[in-house]
Amino acid sequence: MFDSIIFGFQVALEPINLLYVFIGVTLGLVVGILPGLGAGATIALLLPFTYGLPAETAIIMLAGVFYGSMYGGRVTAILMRLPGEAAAALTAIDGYELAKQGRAGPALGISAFASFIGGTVAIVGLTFFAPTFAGYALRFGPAEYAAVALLALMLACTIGSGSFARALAMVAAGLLLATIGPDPILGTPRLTGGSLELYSGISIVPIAIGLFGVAEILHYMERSHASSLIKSGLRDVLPTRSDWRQSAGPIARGSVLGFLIGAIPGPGSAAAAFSSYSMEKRRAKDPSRFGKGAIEGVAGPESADNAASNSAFIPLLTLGIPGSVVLALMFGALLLQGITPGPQLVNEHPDVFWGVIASMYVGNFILLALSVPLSGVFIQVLRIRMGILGPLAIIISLYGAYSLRNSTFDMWLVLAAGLAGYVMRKVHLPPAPLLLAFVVGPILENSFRQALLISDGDPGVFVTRPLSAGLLVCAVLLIVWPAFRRLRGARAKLKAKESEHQSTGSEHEPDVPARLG
Amino acid sequence: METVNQPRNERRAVRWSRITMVATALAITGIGIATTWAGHRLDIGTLAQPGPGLWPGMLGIVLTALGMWILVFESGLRPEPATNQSWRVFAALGAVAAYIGLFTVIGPSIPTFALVLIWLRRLSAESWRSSIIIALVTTLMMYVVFVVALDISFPADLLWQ
Repeated sequence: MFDSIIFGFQVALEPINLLYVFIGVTLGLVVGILPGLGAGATIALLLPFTYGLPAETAIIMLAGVFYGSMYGGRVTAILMRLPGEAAAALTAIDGYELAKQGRAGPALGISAFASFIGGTVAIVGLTFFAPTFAGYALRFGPAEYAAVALLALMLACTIGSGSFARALAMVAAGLLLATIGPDPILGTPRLTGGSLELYSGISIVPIAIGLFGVAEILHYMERSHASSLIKSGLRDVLPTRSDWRQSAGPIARGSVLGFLIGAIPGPGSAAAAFSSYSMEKRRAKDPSRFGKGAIEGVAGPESADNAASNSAFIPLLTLGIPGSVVLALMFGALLLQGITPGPQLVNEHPDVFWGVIASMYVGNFILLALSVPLSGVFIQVLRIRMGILGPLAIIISLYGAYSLRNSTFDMWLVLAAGLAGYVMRKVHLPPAPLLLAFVVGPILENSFRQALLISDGDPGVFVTRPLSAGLLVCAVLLIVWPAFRRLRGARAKLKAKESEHQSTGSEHEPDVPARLG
Repeated sequence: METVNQPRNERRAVRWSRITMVATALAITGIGIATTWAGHRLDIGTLAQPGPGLWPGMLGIVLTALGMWILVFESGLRPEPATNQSWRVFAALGAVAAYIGLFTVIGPSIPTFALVLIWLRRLSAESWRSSIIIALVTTLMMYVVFVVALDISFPADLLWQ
């Protein structure tokens, strides 16, 4: 075990990997601060460039972009109440209040430190837990694999704020897109419509770039942001001793909570941050301070979401199942290198497995060193207007998509995906489940078909094996429960409308709630 | 005048919302049906010997069912409204479409310069000077990174091929 860790550090500390983790982390910081381009879109843009790099270097850089962007998102959250992504939404509440009180410095400092501790705790957990879990996962048969993949997709549907049915429809759409191309077992072309370009299937890169990068830029163009930097001066720059004292508990609790939540595919760092916030609020002696600048409201969620974003690598590195959009893109990067992540990764590619884990320690440390002194510089970066960044990002997107296989067809795909992403957003169809399903689709289908082939066509194989049955029950519950509640709600409303109709004799449109379940 | 028209405008807005949401649900259902049919055409095979059409067929059924559920239960949702800036989105999409078309024929450099320039001037309201400078720098940088450094072959460019 310790030999492996040392080996990992040998990989991570090679000059090329040090260079690329630095590049990744800095890019991530900048991207996290700038509005519009998120970690997902940036990583999607970088995918074509990773092709020429060694596998472990590619993932090290992309991972750096990922957790770097989480750090960066804090800056805009605290200074402008603009969260870089969902997980920063909570930091934006109390962090912004602290900034209004002239305490942006301590807020930024505590947030950086909490993230560092959270990340380190998670990486330590990852180091000890991942190989054991990979060993256990090697005993998974195709039926269990199919069940886990299905459960991961169902979990991904629960995290959004919108309708479960819509998220599920997007999962089906993603699975459908993944079907385009040659049949994995029989080789027959499927859903290609006779098109030569679609013959070998669709790459994740143009879809991801269009759906998340271009669509975001388009959406931004439609709105006008009225956001202003804090005008009041920074009264304190460093956190006070009482800040540290108040933050210690939330950081410790947040790290462990984040680690556990992040290791499950689906919920992700936003869920971890929210859970930590509500835990701290309930534990606090004076909960009314939350929302008005309680430092615990920054420390807890910060360490939780950084822990979660690091422990989220566990399902990817051990099972080969990505739990979020960003991890799905890393999965794509590994595929571009000819590596299929799964339980065998730790044995077949130990340099990737241990190198990436060790590099996360290094990257986290670099982030801490960078983010505290450079916060002032990053504030200046915010001055780049989105109006200039938009077209530049689009040009880079298009060149990047073209360079994948020297094909203008992929550029059209980016455009189509961008339009689709824009429209989907308008009609409340979430894009994240689609991308996740696109990546998980081949795993799910292959496992499903293999299980059937092995059991000679007996679908009972999924429920007679205990682990597979257990996972499937969870997945089914996740689907059935919101549907059940929805039907019950509809029936209650129907009864209410009937009695009202009888008493008042008037008709009106039934009110459909915007949330399901 | 405004207040007299307001209920009518609101009713029209509600009607358009409903049409949009119903169309969305119908589109999903339609794709589901088409997929099921495609799966059937590809040969579903049997459970013991799954054919290439089994998986698409299953997905098609799921999509159709979901489309119908969404039609029945969620047609009352309000879509995100279009703003008076929404024309920019379609202008941008049109510009990119023209860009890709030109890219295929005359190579990357001129379309890149044109797109950045036109976008910055028309959509981002930048000055002539900034727009030209940024467009030039961008085109040059793309050339250096993609053609020189990464050595990727592009369609024959009017400027440098």
